[in-house]
Amino acid sequence: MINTEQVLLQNAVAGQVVAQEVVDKSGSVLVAAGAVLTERLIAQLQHRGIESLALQPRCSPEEQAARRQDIEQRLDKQFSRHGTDATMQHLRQVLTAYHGRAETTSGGSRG
Amino acid sequence: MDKNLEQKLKTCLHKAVPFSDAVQAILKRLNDVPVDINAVAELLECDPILTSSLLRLANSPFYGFSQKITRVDHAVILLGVHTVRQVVIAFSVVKRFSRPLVSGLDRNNLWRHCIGVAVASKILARRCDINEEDAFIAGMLHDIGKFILDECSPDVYRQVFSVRDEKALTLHAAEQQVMGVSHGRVGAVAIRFWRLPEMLADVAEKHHQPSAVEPKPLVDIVHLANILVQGLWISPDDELSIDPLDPECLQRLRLDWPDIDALLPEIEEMSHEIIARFLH
Repeated sequence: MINTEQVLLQNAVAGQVVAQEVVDKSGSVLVAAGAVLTERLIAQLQHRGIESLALQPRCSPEEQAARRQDIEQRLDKQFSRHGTDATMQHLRQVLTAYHGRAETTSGGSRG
Repeated sequence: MDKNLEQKLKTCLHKAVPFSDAVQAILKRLNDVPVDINAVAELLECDPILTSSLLRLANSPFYGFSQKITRVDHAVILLGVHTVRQVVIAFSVVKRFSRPLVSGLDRNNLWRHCIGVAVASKILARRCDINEEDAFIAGMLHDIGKFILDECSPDVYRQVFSVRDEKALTLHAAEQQVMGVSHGRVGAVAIRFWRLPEMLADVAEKHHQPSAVEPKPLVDIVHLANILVQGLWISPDDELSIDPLDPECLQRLRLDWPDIDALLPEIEEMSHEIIARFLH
């Protein structure tokens, strides 16, 4: 189960990940769990009268650096047999960028 | 291949037919033209596990129906006969080979990988205008040979894993060295033996070398899906290594790196979703 923290909407920051779906008074889902907040989305939720929501915790720069290192190590191991093969290097770049994005926004819920 | 091993595999394939009489009756009914939806639904309802699995999958975000589907006949109509056939085959095979590990192969992890590859294949197929349901089942069965080897010859297969680890070989190379046959080949033989479509055997056999003989889009799709799922660490075993990606396969599918990058979030999210629905 992912850690969550209840955050006042005014303190929420674009880029954070919604941990539990946000519903309005009538029970309609406004935002699904897993969605990434944007400035626009925060403004829309304010407009709908939402005061707080459950978000995945953000991590500190140190935690982010540690995660990036962890990603690099895991990929090093996985790609160790492929040397300087151009296709595999490209693939690795794509995966490094993807895991980096996913790790910094998901609060390390994966792996 | 060693004569002894060949004999064992033959005996095993006879024993390991994954389709019960009920499932065979359903598959037969699904081939009728025109198909009798009520007859199919009635047969499906005789197998409550299959029914609940089918409904669970039909209600997943993968299919995007706005209303909850609660009746089997509705599921058959909404999903379509082709999809239902593929799902029945997939569930039957997963169920047949989901008993605990034998040779050191973690079957649960391997199924996680296979379901991930099925999902990734379906998403790539949609992007490349290839039949999505064929891609899903082809991805699901691409490694079926591993389950069969694990079941028929656990001692030999255990040896394959130790040779792989000792000599830092790919599983494919270790299989060739120890048994003289690869899981791809064994999978293809099994799929033909079960009289499933030939293209599924083709994918199982060639997913590691999509350019070796006449290239086929479905083989290219599963080849790429397999590697992306490894790279996304969908199953714990995926982290062990990554298979070499054939660059020609990307060209043939007309995919570039930004295309792949754009598909990764959906592949990861849907894989976890569908894994939960198959292996609850």
